[in-house]
Amino acid sequence: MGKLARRVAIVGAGMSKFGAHYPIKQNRDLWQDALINTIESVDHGVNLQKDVEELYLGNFSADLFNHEAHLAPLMAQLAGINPKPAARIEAACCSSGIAMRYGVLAVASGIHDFVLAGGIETMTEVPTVDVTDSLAAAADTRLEYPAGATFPGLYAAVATAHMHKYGTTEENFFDVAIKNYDNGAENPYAQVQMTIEQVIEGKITKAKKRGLEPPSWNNPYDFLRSESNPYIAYPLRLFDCSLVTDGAACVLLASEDIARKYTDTPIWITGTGQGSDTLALHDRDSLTSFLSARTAAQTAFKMSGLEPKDIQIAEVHDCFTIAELVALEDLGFYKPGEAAAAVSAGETKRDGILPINTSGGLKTKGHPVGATGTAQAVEIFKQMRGIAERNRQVKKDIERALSHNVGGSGASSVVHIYEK
Amino acid sequence: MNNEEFTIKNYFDFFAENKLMGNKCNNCGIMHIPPKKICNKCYGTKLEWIEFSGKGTLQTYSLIGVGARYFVNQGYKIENPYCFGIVQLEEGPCISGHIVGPEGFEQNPKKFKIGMPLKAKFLHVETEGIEPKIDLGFEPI
Repeated sequence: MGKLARRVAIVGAGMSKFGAHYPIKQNRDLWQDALINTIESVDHGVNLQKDVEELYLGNFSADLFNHEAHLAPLMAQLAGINPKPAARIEAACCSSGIAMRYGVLAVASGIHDFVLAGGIETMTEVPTVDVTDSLAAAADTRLEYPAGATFPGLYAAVATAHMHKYGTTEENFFDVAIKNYDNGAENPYAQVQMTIEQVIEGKITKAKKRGLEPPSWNNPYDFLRSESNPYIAYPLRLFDCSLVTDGAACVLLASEDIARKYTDTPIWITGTGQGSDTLALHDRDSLTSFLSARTAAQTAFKMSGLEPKDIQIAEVHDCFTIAELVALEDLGFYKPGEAAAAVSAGETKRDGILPINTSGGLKTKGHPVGATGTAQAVEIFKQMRGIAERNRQVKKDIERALSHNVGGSGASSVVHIYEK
Repeated sequence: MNNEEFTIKNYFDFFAENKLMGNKCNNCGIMHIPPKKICNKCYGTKLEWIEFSGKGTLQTYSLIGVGARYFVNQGYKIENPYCFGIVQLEEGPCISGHIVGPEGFEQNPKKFKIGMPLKAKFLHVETEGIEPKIDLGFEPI
């Protein structure tokens, strides 16, 4: 019980550039960009048409965002794998983390040797208020929505509770944002490739061009505390929120029997865990921690035989800055209420003891919700192989890594552990 | 109290009578809001309607500036946020609600304190494009 029947490896991983692509690029275009990027990542080459036995496609809500509901057969067609099975998996913002898990389970079971798992979302096709409403459909639309819940609002409620219980401050949230901007600036696939300092410089230049008095922020905190960073949902401000993004990402999963046909350095998935919780936040025992994530983590750690202290790098679900702090506590990296101090001390920076979200995270890489889970695996794949672009490659050999992907306000979660 | 089926519609229909209704498990005594057909604790199926007092305490909240369309249509915006809150009812269970108060109340974070006592207020909402409806709100006692 609780063990994979055989080993499963990622042998290829890739993604489209994340950003606001609509209408220039739409679901099918972004998917093909991700496929090409994935094919190019396979050391000894791959023929998708011949080799892939099934597609597991994560997508939250193409129905609401794009009026496209039956995406998987089309994406299978574009990968050249019809008439082999393909279906869409929906679990809000962890749709493709769970698509990847189902691919892992299928290969481990022996039913397949080689599968494609991916995710896709095009969110900028609709106006912002419709994005807000569509994302709110991942909450309890009968009980939470009429009370005013939005996605940022629910995480803001978690933030309020966390501040009250542990003394967490807005500055603690800013620390997370500043770090993730620093990382995203080094990721050519990220939606925003600017540090907060560069954001500030841009605003000063713009003001000067318009002949206005330039703002007098002395450091990132001055700016983040200012009216130029308004509250979207108090206590969360604009720069605490992830972005509205279009993008796609994929991984190729192979059994231990054939993995080395594709690469000499397979990345083994040695732990996979998934959890659920009450849909409505108000039914939870805790408002500062997600039971689904703790459950997923415990299952994944037990399966891999590793402990939180063994993990050298992680991509976690920072849809809001508070979510990164909750993630670090739910995963067991820090005790409840202690993550904020560790982040402030720089422990989670690229040169820290536990680099978190080297990709820039959902905060700056972007958060095309259904693609986020597999995009996290893409970053882990690169970091473990030492091929992360620009200056974001962590300067140590990564043997053990983790990804953490959450759906809604914590009603679904999936955690994966990777080893070389 | 009555034999109405424990459905979500019946829960909302009681709002028109200014009643906050849930149910109680006859086996283990736990209460649910809205009512459930199967007890969430002992999984028994013998339950009865009960009326909640509507009194409770604020567990957490957010003042939402970029709101859901339904709230934008009610006139809320970034300069004029509304308050979403989670309230623990005195009978035990928690529920989400729109936290309202006197003019300007929702725009001031300093007015809100976790643990503050509240009571239910049924909010009659009329906005463009939808039938008039009644939502669950709470206001300070």
